[in-house]
Amino acid sequence: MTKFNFLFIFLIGSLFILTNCSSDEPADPPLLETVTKKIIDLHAPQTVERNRQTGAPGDPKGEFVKINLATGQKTDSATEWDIAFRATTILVNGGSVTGLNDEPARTGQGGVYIETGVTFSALSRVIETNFKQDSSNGLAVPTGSNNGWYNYNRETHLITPIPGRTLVVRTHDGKYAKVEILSYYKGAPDPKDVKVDPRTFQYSHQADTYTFNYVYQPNEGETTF
Amino acid sequence: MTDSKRFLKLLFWIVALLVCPIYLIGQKHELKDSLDMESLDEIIVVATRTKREFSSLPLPALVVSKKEIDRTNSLRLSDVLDEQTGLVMVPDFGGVMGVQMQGLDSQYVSILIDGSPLIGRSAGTFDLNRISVGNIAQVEIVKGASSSLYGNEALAGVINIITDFPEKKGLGGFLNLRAGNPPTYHPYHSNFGYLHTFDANLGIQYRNGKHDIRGYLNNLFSDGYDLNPDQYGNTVEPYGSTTAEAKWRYRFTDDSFLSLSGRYFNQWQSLRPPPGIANYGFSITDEFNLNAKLQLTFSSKWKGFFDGYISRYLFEEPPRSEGNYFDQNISRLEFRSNYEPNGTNSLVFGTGLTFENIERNDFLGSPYFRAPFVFGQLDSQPLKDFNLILGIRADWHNEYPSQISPKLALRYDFNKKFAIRGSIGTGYKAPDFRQLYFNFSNSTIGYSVFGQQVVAQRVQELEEEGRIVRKNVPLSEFDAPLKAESSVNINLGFTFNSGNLYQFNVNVFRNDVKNLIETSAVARLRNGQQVFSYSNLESVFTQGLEVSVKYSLGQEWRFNAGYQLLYARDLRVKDEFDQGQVFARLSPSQSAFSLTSKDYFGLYNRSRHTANIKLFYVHSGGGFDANIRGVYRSQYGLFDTNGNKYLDLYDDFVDGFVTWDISLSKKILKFAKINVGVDNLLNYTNPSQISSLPGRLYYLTLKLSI
Repeated sequence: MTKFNFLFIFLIGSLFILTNCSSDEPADPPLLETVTKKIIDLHAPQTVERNRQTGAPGDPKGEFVKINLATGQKTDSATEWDIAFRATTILVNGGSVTGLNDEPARTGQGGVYIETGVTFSALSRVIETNFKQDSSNGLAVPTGSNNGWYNYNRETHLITPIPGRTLVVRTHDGKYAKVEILSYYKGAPDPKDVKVDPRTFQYSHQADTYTFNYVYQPNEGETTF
Repeated sequence: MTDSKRFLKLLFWIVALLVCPIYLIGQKHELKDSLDMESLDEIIVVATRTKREFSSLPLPALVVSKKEIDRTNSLRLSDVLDEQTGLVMVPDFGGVMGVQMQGLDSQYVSILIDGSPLIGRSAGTFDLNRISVGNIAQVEIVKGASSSLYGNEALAGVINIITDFPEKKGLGGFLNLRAGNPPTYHPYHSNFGYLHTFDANLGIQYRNGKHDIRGYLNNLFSDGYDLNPDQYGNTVEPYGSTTAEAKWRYRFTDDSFLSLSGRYFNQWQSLRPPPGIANYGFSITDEFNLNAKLQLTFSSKWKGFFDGYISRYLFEEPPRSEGNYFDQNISRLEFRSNYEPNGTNSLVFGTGLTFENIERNDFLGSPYFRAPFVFGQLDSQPLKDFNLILGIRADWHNEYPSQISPKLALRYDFNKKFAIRGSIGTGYKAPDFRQLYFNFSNSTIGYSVFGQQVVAQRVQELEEEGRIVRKNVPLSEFDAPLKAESSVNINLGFTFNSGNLYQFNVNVFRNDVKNLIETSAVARLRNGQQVFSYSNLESVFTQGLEVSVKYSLGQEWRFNAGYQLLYARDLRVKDEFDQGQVFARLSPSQSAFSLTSKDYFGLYNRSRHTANIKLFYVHSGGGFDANIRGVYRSQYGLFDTNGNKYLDLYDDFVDGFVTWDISLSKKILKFAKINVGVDNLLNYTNPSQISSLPGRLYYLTLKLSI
C-alpha cells in the first residue's frame, strides 16, 4: 500500500511539474482524482437447463448484471454500462454480440484487455492498441480455465481469480479503468474454507458472486492511473 | 522443524517401549534363525535379467525378502513398498495406491510378476493393493530408467515380484488367518460382523526330484472405514478380494526346466448406495495371468529362455446412468539367451513381440498395439575391481515412433568395503490407449476429452453440428503422432559395507523428462466449456539424494533407516517464476503480489523429505520376534489452491506426518505362531486430505505351517 501511495504521489507530482512547465499556454482545467473502489459480493447468477433425456447441459441463460464504473453501481441502462457479469462470463460494452442467450447489445466504445505480469498497483499505463472488443469471434475476456481471469480446479471444483491478472477496461464513453477480481464466492472466503458437495454441487459459499477492486480514471484521454 | 522433533521424541519413546518387554523374555538360546544369517548374499534377477549378486550391483536397487515381508505382517504389495527408502505411496482416484519412485509417478514404474508386465492401470496408476504378498519369495526394485531391458513404462524404475517355489522336498503348506479391527466404519451395513477385516492365506506345496508344485489362495474382506461419520457414506466402502495361484515346474536337469503358472485375481467393492437403498451393487475387477517358461541349459556357457505370457484385466461398474467397463489384454512372447564365455563376461540377448488391445467405454473403436523388440546386454568385469554393464534395447510400435534405449552402469570397488557406482540410461513411456483413443464427453458439466488419434475427427463433427465457437489450434496439428515421454537418468553413489556390522549407501539421482503428455484445450464449445486433447507439452526434472543405513546390533537386533531428499520441478514453470510472472495473494481481500523462484515448491504430491526407520528384534532361540517401523513424509501439495496454477509456498499443503507400525510374534507350538500388531499406532489421520489413512488398526494373526 505504501508503495502504491508513493507511486501515486510521484505520478501526481510529476504531472504537477509537467503542467507547470507549460505555463505559456492557457491553463488546463484541474485534473480530477482517480477513483479507487471495491465492489463487494456482486451476485451474477446464470441458469442452465438440462436435457431431460440425456442430462446434458444446455446453453446458459439469464440477465447479465451491468456495471457503470463511473458510479460504481449496477445499472439497468441499455447504453450506459461498461462491463457486465453472468457467472464466469464478463462482457464489455463495445463491439458486437457474441451469440450468447440474453446478451445485451453493445452500444458504447468500450474495450478490455488482460494485463499479466504486473501487480494491480504497479499497472500504471494503458496501452490503447491492446484493447479487444466482444464480437461473434468470441469474448474479449475469454472464458475457460486459465484463459481469462480465473482458474477452475477440477479437484476442488472452485473458481479462483488468477492472481496477477488485471482487466484493463475502456468504458462505454472512452475513459479507462483497471479491475482486479478478488473472489467469486460470497464473503470473499479463503478458498480452503469453501466446501463443495461433489454430488449436488452445492457450495458452502454462494458462487457467481464477485468481489473486485478497481481504479477509475475520470479524465478524458488520460492513460495513466 | 516440529515434525522432526516429534519424530525423534516418538522414536525414543518407542525404542524404550520395545526394549522393556524383550528383556523380560529371558535368556539366550542357541543361534538359530537370527538376523545374522540374513547377511548371506541376496540374488537379484530384475536388474540384469540374470541371477546376479545383489551386493555387487552397479545400480541403485533394493531387495525385500520373504522374511521381512513375513515379519512385518504385510498383506499387500503397498504395505511392503511403503517402508522402503525412496518409495512413496500415493493414493489416486477410486482408492487405488500407486508408487512414486525417484519423484516420478506410478505410471512410469513398470510392475512385473516373474519378469512379465502386469496390466490394468487406472489413469496411469497401478494399484499395488491388488497384489497379495503371501506367495512372494522376494520383491526386487531397480530405481532409475530401465528401458534398456524392459522398454515401455520402465522410465522411473522397475518392480519385480518373484513368486515362491517350494524349497524343501516333500509336502508342505501353511495357513495364515488374520482378523483386524478398523477404528471406525459406517454402521449402515457390516458384512462381516465383528471381524471388520479378515485375511486368509492358504498355501500347499509339493516337491520331489522332478516336480515342483504349489498352490496358493488368498482371501481378504474388509468393511472399509469411515473418517467423516457426519457425512453420508464411508470413506472406503466395503471391499474384498481373492487371489488364486497355481504353479508347476518340471525339472529336466538341475538347470533346465519347464514351468507353467496361472494367477487369478478378483476384487469387488460396494458402490455407495443412494440414501434409503441397502444394496446397490459392486464394482468388479478380474485379472488373469498365464505364464509359461522354458529354460534350457545347452552347455555350461550357454542358456536359452522361452517365455510366453498372457494377461487379461477386466473392470466393470454396473450402470448408474451408463456403465463403466475396461477390458485390456496383453500377450507376449520372448526368447532370450545367456552366454557366459568365462567368469568375467556375460552376454544377454533377447527378442520378442508384445500385442495389446483394449475395449472400454468412452473409446472410439477397439485399438491395439503391436510392438516387437530386441535387446542386448553385456555385463563385464574387465578388471578385478571394475564392473561394467552396457545395455541397449530397440522397440518398434504401430502407433508411435520407434525407441532406442541405451544404458551404461559402472562400479569400482576400492576395497572389500568401499565401492563407487554410477549409471546413465534412458527411459520412455509410450502414449497409452487413453491418450490416443479416449472419446469422452462429460454430461454434467459439458466438456469433452478426446485422444490424440480421434480429436481431429470428433472436433470436425462437433463443428458440423455447430457446437464449436473457436478452435485454439488448427486440427492439422494432430496429424503428427504423439511422441513417447522420454527421460535421461543419472545415478551416482557409493556404498560402504563393513561386513556383518553395518552397511551405508548413498545415491544421488537426476531424471530429465521431456515430451510429457498433458491435456490442453483445443477448442471452445458454445456452452462455454472446452474440448481437451493430449499433446507433448512439458519438461520436468526430478533430482535428489538417497541415504540408507543398515546396522546390526549384536546378533538379535537390526536397525534400518533410510532418507530421501527430493526436488521435482517443471522447467517452464520455473522460468515463469524466475521472470516474476507468477503471483499470489495472501487472502481474497488483498491484492496480488509477485513471487520469485524461491517460492516455487515444485510438482504436486512430492514431499521434500521422506524417511523410514525400522528396528527388528529376533530372539536367538527363534521363538519370538518383534519390530517397529516408522514412515515419515514431509508436507506436500495436492493441487493449486490460490489460483496461479502452480504449487507455491502460499498454497495450502498437506501437513507432514509419521505413521508407526508395531508387530510382535511368538511361537506357541512347533507348527504354530501367533502374532499381534498395531498399524498406525498413534492413530494419525487427516480425513479431509488423506482418505487412504484409516487410523489405528489392531490385528491378530495365527500362522500355521508344516
